[in-house]
Amino acid sequence: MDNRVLNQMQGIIEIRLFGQNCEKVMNMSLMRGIYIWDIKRKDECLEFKIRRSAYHALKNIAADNNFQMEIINEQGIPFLKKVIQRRSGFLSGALVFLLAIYLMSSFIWFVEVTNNQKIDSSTIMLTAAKHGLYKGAGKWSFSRSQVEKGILVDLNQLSYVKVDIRGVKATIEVVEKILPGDDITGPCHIVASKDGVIEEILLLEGQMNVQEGEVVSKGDILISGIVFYQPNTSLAGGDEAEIKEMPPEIVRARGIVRARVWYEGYGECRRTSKKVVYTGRESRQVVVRTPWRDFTLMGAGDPGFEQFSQKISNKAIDSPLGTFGWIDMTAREKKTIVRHISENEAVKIARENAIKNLQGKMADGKRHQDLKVEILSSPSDPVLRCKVAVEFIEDIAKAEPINEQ
Amino acid sequence: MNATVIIIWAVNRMEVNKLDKKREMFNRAMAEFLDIPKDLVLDLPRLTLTGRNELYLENHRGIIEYTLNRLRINLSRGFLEIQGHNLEIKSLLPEEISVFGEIDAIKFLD
Repeated sequence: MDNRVLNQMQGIIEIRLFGQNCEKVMNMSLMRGIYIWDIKRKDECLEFKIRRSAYHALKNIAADNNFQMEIINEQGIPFLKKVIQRRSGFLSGALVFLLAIYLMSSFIWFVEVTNNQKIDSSTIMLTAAKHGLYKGAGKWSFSRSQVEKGILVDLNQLSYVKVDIRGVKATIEVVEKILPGDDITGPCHIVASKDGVIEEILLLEGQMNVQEGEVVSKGDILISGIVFYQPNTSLAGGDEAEIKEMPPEIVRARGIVRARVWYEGYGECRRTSKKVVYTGRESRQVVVRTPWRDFTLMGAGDPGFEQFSQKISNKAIDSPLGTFGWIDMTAREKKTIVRHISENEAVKIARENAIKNLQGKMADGKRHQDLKVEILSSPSDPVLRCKVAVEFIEDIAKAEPINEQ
Repeated sequence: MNATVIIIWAVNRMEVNKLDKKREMFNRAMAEFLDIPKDLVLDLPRLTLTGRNELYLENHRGIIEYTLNRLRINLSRGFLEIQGHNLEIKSLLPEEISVFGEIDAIKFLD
C-alpha cells in the first residue's frame, strides 16, 4: 500500500493535529481505512501524512472529536498547479528556451565539405546552396537526396555525393571522378613546349625533325607523327617507284627531347641603407605640477639630443584649486646609421633577390646548368638592378594531336 | 444495587473469558494438529524486528498510546508496549504497523 509513485500521483498532505489523545483519531481513521504514515510525535501535536483523497474524511473525524488540524505541506502532482502558477515566468521561460533550441536546431549552421581533392570546397558549397543546402537553410526546405542528385548533376567531376546532416552540421562527402589523363592516344606530333637549344633527343617513335644543337622555338615540331618511308638506296631501283607510292604512316610520336632553356629573373638592391638605432643614452625629467607652479624634481627640460623619441607618462588629478599632477618624461637618443654597400655586395644581394623571384617560375628538380648575371643599372644609380638568367636542361617534349582532315 | 450489578457483570465476564479460553485452546490444538501458522488461526501478532531500529507488527488492534518514548499497541489479547527513544510510526494500516526509532524494550502486557 505504501506506493510512493501512487501517493505522489494522488497527492500527499502533511497534517499537524492538535489535541489530547491523538491516538483516538489514528484508530478511527484506521477503522475507516484511511492510510496514515510517517507519524511523528511533537510536543503538543502529532504530525503525519495522508493521501489527498482521505483529507475530507480525516477532517470530519477531527471535527467530530474536537481536534484542531492544520496542513503543513502539500506534495504531489495535484499540488503542482500552484507551483506552476507561482513559477509561471520560469516555466514559460523554460518553454521559450526549449522552443528556441528546437527552432535553432532546425537550421543548418555549418556546412562542411570533405574528401575533395581537386575541386574547391567553395565550388561544392555553392552548388549545394543552389539546391537549397546552405548556412542558415531550414532543414525542412531541402531534401537530402535531391541536394545529392543536384550536386552530382551540376559537377560532373564528382562520382559520388553524400549529404550527412548531424544536428546543425551538414557534411557533404564527395568522391571525385578519376578522369582519364590528358594522354593522347591518337596520332600526334611532339612539339617544343619552350624555346631552347636541343641538347639530346631520344626517339622512340615517329620521325625526327630537329638535330642536336638546333635552336627551336615554342611550337616547333620536334618529332613528327607523320612518317614517310625514305627510299632505301640499297634496294633495287625497280622497287623504288613502289615504295614512293606508299602513303605516309601516321603514328603517335614518342620521345624525350632535352633542351637548354632559360629563365630570367629580376632583382635589385639599394646601394645605401639607412637604419635608425637607439644609442642607449637616456634623459629623464620628472615634473610635479601644481596649479601655481611646476616643480622639476629631476633632470633638465631639454634632453640635448639631436634625435630622440620621448615617452611621457602623465598622471593628473583635477581639484577645485586646479590640476595637481605628475609628469614623467623619458627621452631616448636615436641615431641614423647610413651604410654604403659596395658594388660586389650589392650585386650579390640583387642576384639573390633575382633568384628568389625566379624560384616561383622554376619547377623543382631541374638540373641547374648555368647562371648569367647582367647588371642593368649604371654605377652612379642609387639602386643596383640586375637580371639573372638561369639555364636549365629539361624535357621540352609536348604531345600535340595531328589534325586529320 | 450498584455492587450487585458489578458482581453480575464480573461473573458474566469470567464465564465469557472461560469460553474464550476454551475456544482458544481448541484452536491452538487444531492449528498444531493441522500445522497451520498460528498467527492466522489464533489471531496472534507477528513481530519482525530488524536490528533495534525497525519493528514491523502484523495483526494489531489499534494504538492505545503513542509518545516519543513509549508506544502501546492493542492486540487481540493484551497489548504490546514498546519502549525506546524517538519512536515514529512509519506506516499505519488496519492490519500492519511499522515502527522506527531506537527500541529499548518490547513488553507483552495483559
